[in-house]
Amino acid sequence: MKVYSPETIEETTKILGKLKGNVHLLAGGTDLVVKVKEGTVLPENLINIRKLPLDYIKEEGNQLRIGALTSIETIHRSKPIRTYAPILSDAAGKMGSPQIRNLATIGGNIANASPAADTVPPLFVLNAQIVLKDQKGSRVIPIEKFFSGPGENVMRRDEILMEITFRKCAQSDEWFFSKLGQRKALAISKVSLAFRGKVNQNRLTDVSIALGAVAPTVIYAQRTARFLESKTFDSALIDEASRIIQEEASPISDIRSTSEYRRRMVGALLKQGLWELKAGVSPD
Amino acid sequence: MFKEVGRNVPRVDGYALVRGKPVFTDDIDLKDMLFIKFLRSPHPHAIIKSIDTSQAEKMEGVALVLSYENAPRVPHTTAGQGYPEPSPYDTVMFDRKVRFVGDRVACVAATSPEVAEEATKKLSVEYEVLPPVFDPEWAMRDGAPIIHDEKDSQGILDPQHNLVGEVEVKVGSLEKGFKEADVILERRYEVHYAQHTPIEPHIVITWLDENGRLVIRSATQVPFHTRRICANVLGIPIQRIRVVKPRIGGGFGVKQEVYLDYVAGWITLQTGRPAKIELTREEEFISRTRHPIITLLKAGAKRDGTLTALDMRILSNTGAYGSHATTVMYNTGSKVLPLYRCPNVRFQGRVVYTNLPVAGAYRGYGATQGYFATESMLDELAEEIGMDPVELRKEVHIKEGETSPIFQALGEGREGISQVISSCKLPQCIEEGLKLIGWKKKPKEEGRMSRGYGCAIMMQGSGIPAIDMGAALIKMNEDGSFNLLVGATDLGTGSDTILAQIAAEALKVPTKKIIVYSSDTDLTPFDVGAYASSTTYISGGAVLKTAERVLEEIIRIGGEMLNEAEGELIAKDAQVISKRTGRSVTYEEIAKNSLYERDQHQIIGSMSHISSQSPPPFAAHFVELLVDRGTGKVKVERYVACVDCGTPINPKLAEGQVEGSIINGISYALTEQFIFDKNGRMMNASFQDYKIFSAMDIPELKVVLIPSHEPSGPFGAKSVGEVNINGPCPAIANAIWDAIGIRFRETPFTPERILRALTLGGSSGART
Repeated sequence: MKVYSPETIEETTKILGKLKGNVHLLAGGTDLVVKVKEGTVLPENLINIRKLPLDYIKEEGNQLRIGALTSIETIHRSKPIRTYAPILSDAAGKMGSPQIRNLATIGGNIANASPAADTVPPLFVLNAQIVLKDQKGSRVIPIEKFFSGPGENVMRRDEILMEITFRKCAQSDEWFFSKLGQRKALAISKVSLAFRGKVNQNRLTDVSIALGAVAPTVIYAQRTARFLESKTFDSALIDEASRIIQEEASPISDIRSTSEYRRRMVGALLKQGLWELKAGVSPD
Repeated sequence: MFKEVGRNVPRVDGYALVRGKPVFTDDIDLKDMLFIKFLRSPHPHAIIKSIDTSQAEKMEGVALVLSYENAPRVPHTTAGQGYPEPSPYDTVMFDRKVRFVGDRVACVAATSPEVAEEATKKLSVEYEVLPPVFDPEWAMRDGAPIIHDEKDSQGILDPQHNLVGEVEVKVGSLEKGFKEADVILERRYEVHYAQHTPIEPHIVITWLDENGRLVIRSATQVPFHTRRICANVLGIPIQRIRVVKPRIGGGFGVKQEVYLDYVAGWITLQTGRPAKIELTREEEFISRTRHPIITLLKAGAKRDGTLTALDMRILSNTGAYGSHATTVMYNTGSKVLPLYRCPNVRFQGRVVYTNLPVAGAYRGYGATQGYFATESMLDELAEEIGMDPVELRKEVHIKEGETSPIFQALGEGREGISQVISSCKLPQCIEEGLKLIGWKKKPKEEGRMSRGYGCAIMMQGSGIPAIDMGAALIKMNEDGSFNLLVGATDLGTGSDTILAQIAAEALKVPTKKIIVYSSDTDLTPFDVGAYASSTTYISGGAVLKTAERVLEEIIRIGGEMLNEAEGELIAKDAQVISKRTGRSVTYEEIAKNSLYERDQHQIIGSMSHISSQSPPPFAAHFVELLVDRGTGKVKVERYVACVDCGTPINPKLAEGQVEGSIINGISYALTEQFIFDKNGRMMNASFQDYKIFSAMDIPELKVVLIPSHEPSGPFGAKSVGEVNINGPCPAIANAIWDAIGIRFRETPFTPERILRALTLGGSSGART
C-alpha cells in the first residue's frame, strides 16, 4: 500500500489523475480503517486528505457551504447549521458516539454511500448539492443523483468531494429526523426518516421526505409527500400517509432487522413525527 | 462492630489499574516470542481427510504447524472444575473431526501474528463434509448425525443419541400434587445463546524458565485447574508447570475454560520459545457461550397461592463439546427449585450435543435459564388464580429456618447436600423493592407507550458444598505488615481487596497493612478458583481461619513479652494489650521480637476451608418499563434490585457486582443474540452486530443491599457475583405482559418480535 499526504487540492487532484490501481481517500477513517482491518478493502493507494483546507462552514447569502472535511461533531454544534439547517445538526448529534463524531467527516459519510448514513436523509430534504473536483475543474451534482447503489456513488476515480451546499431553511419550516437502532449509541440505523415541510392553515405544503436504510440508497418518498400536501392535515391524512409510505420503501432483511419490521417502522416513524408536529402529543 | 469489613475500602489494585501499569497478561513482551493463530473449520460437521502444511511451513517466520497429525491426543474436558471432573472427556487438542463452524483444525506458530495468520491461509485441507444437526430436539432422535463417534471419549452418556447426560429426581408425588391443584398450567420457555464479552479476550503467554519449567501466564479464573489439565494434556508432571494469573479484564465464567493454555504450552515445549495466543473478538464470540435451554414447566397451584406441584423438564444444548454440560443442567434445577415451597416436585434434565458453538460456564450457570421459566410461570399462575404476583411470591418462597428436599436430591453433577436456610432477608427485599419502584403507581398508558411493572425473585449458592476448597497463607513482617497469599482468583471482581479486608478485620489492623498476592501456583496455596460464587464465602473463610491462627500466635508472643497469661490479653489497633495492666506491645515490636530477638521464628499460618453448606444469597428485582406500541421497543425506565448477600464485606464492590449483573441481564433480555446462517455459522460475531448495552442504554438503577448474617460465612458474608443475573429476563417479560398483555416465553424480547406479536395478538415465541 502506498500512502500519499497531499497538502493542497491541486496536488491531490494531480495524484488522483495519474494513479493506477485502486485508490482510497482517507478522511476521518471511521469507515475505511474498519474495512481495511477487516480485510474487505485492500487499498493499493491511500491518499490521506486530512491536511486539505476543507474544514469549514460558510454562510454566503442564503446559501450554506460545508467543507467535506468538517467533522460531524462540528456540524452538530455549529450555530449557523443549528439556525439554518437544524435537521442536519440534529441528525449529526444522533450519529455514532462522541469519539466517532469527532473523527468522522460529512464528506466521508456521503462518499461512503451507505444507505444507512445518518446525515444523508437530512441533506436530501435540504436539496443539497455535492461539489466534486478533478484536475480539469468542478461539477455539481444534486445529492439524490449522487448515489448509485449501496456503497456506490457516481464519483469518478480522479475526483475528490469538495463541499456540500444548500439553501438556508426558513424559520417557518417544520422538520423532524427519526432513527431506530439496536441501542442508543454506536448502532447502525435500522431505519431513518427525515421530514421537512410547512404548515399553513391546517394544510401541509412544500413537503419533502427522505428515507434511510430501506432501499439500496437513501430515497425520497415522493408519493407520500405529494399525498400529504393534498388534503387537510388531520388524523385520517396521517394514517393514510403512514400506509402509503410503507409501499415506497423496499427494505431488506439482514442481521440487524427484518424487511417486514423496517417497512412498518417507516410508517411508525412518520406517524409519530407527524403527530408530534401536529399537536405536540401522540395518538391514541 | 467491624472496622475493616463493611467499609468501602479502595481496591488494592485500583491505582495500578487506573494508571495503566503493566498488569495484564498481554503487558509483557518476551524475546523470540511466537504468535499462534488458528485455522478454523468452515463446516459444521466434517472429517479432515488430509492437511497439506508444506506451503505454510515454507514461509519465512513459521516455526511450527500443529494439527491432529502431530499434536498429542489426550481426551480431556476443557471445563476447569474440581477433580475428578464432572464433565465428559470429549475434547482433544486437535481432532480429525470438526464439529462446528469455528472448530480448531490446526494452528501456526510464527514470529509475528501477521505471518501466523497468513500461514493459516496456506494450509490446504480436504474435508469430507458430514450432515450436521442444529436442533437439540432432533439431535436426540434415532438417525440423527452422531457428533461424538470417536472411540476414546469418556463420560458421554449416550453418544449414539448425542446425549451427554441426563438426570431425574422426584420429591413427593406429582400425581397427588396436580390432583390437589385448582389451577394447572403447562408452558414451554426458551432462552437463547449469549456470550460473556469480557473486555479482555482469552489470552495466554507461555515460556520455559531457566530450569526448563513451563510457565503459563494466563487470563484464567482457574489457575490450579489449568495446571492440572495442562499437565494431563501435555503429558508432563504437574511439578513442571507454573501457572500465573495477572490482573484480568473480566471473566464471567468464560475463563473457567482451559483450552488454549496447553496449545501455547505445547508450542513452547516443542520449540523452546515463548508463545502467545490472543483471541480476536470474532474468535471470542465462539469460544464459549451460555447454554440455550428449552424448559417445559407444568405447575399446579391452589387458589390461595399454595404451590402443589412443579414438574420441570429441561433440554440443554451444549453445542459441539460437553464443557460444563451436566453441571449446568443440574444447576438449572438445584439453584432454582429450592426457592419455592412445594412438596411435589420432579426435575428432569437432558443435555445434548449439536453442531453449534460450545456452551460453558456463564454467570448464573443454568439458574438464569431456569428462573426465566419459573418466574414467568409464577406470574402466569398469579393471573390465573387472580392473585397479585408479588403476593404470590411472598407466599411461595422459602423462609429462614426452612429447608427444601431439593437441596438433598440435586447437587452439581451429582446428589446434593441437605441444608437449612440460616439467613434469608427476601421478605424485606420484596417490601423495600415494592416501595422503591412505586409498584403500579403510575398511569398505564402514556400516548403510544404502555407502562408495565414486573418483578422476579431469585437465589444462587455460595460455592459448591463439600467440593470447593480455598486456602490462604499469612506471614508477618517486622514492620507489622502482613503478606496474604491466596489461590483465590480476582478476575476484576475486587476479591483481592475483600480478602484483604477479611484478613485485616481478623488481625485487627487497617487493610492497608495487608499485601495481597494471589493466583500463582508456585507461590500461593491451592484454591479451586473463581466460580460458583465461591470466593468471598469459601476463600474468605480460609483467610479468616488463617488470620485467626496468626492472631493467636501474635497474642501468644505479645503475652510473653508482657509477661501476661493469654487469657488476660486482647488484640486491638495493631497492638496486644493487657486487660489487667493496660500495658501494650505493638505488632511491630512483636514481629521484630519473633524475627530477631527471642525464640526466633517466622509468624506464619496457613489454613484451608471447605463448607458443608452453600448458603444462597437472595434478591428481589422490580422493573418499570414502557413498551412503544408503534415500534415494539422496550424502554426500561427504572430497575430496582434489593439483595441479601449476608454481610457485604465491601458494599461498593458488592453493589458493583449487582449493577454489572443487572446490566448484563437486561442486555441479554433485550438486545443480545446469536444469529446463525444455515451452516450454523455465527453471522454477527462482532460488537458492530452483537449489541451489548452501552453506558447510554443503562436505565435508572437502584441497588439496595439488605444485610443478613450468615452464620457459616466470614463475618456473616454470602456470595453476590451471580445471583442478580437471574432477574432481568423474567422481570422484564412479566412487565411486558403487564404493559401490553402479551406473554413472551422466548428470549430476547426484540422490537421485531414485540411488534409482530402486537400485530398478531396473543402470545409470542414458544407455544403454550
